[in-house]
Amino acid sequence: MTKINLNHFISSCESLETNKDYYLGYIKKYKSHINDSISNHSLEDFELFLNEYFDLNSKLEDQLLTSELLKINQIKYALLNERTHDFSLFWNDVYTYDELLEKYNKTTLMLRRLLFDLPDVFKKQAYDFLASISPFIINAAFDDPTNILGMEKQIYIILAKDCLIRQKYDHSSLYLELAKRV
Amino acid sequence: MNNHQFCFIICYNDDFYLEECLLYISNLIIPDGFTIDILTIKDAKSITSGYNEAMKTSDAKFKIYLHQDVFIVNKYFLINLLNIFNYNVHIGMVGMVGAPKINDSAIMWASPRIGGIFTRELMEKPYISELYETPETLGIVSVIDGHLMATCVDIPWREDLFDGWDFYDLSQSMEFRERGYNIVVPPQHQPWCLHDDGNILNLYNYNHYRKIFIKEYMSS
Repeated sequence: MTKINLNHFISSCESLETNKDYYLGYIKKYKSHINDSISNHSLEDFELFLNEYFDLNSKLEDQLLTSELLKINQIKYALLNERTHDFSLFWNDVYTYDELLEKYNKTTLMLRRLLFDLPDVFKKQAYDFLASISPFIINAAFDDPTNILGMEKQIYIILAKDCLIRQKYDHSSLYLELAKRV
Repeated sequence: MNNHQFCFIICYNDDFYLEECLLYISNLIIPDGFTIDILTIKDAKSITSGYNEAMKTSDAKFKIYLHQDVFIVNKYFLINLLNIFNYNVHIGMVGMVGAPKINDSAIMWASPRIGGIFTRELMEKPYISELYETPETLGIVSVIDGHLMATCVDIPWREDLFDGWDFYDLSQSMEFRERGYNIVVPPQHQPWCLHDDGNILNLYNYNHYRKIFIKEYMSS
């Protein structure tokens, strides 16, 4: 297992402790803006606030980094691709930050069900859910640095086959394209 | 005390994650003659208070404390745990990841560790559940990581000192050691659990509890 740089880590923790209210204030403020953009389904605002947040995070030496906001940022990439390629948007049926995050977390958990030895009934639930979302969000989940997922190529091929059976041909061909790129 | 029961104790604040955690538990093979129980504590004030409340409620000999985002993927997990606890009466607690020694700064991640953690590389192989029958290969550690902690004896969690969500695991490890118990981590060909912690931890209170831990356990 990798070890961390001790002095750097302690220094970072001390900074987090000292500036906790300051950092949490920023996070709260941006979560509120992002929540509003999700409610309004404004992809422009969503992208703007996320970009601003991560710029600020860089200036503050990653002290604002949270796994939640990294996940939300991944969703941004998927939504932009969905819009460009005229797919139904992942956030169409959610209206808050928490709902969006929950749907994305569900995506990861359903993908993971395909990787482990679970009863068919649970895998079927996973296939049914994954068929309802675009390959772009699946790709975003695999690219997400906060996610522990694997066998990306194999999953794309399995999902391509499943989408063929469901007659979702545009999804199927996109999964095969993604599989080629892995 | 029910010597033939495992009790899973989970503090949670996310119904969806809890449901998924329980799904994997439902897939575990239960050793012959044993039963399982599950106690969940929603929105606990602190992890130690939640664990203490559940510990007092259950008379199961074997208690498994885990996070809502821990998925036990090895179907033989309970059988393996029994093999470990039955191997030596001095074994009081089992973890999935631990450090044989803790450094002076009390930061486990900066110390060499043993055990199993899923990485993206490890996720590239098909998963095969592992039956563990050679407890002589166990690693004895000073402290274990709190994502999963299994015990065969009840020792109160220090909610008087650790009233948040940090250092409860190192504290409990010390409490077990001070009472003469060994803490062990089994070797794992593939990790037995997947901890979905998002790779980036909430460390705003970490330093505060680190100082408390050092004062309580390392100052002498």
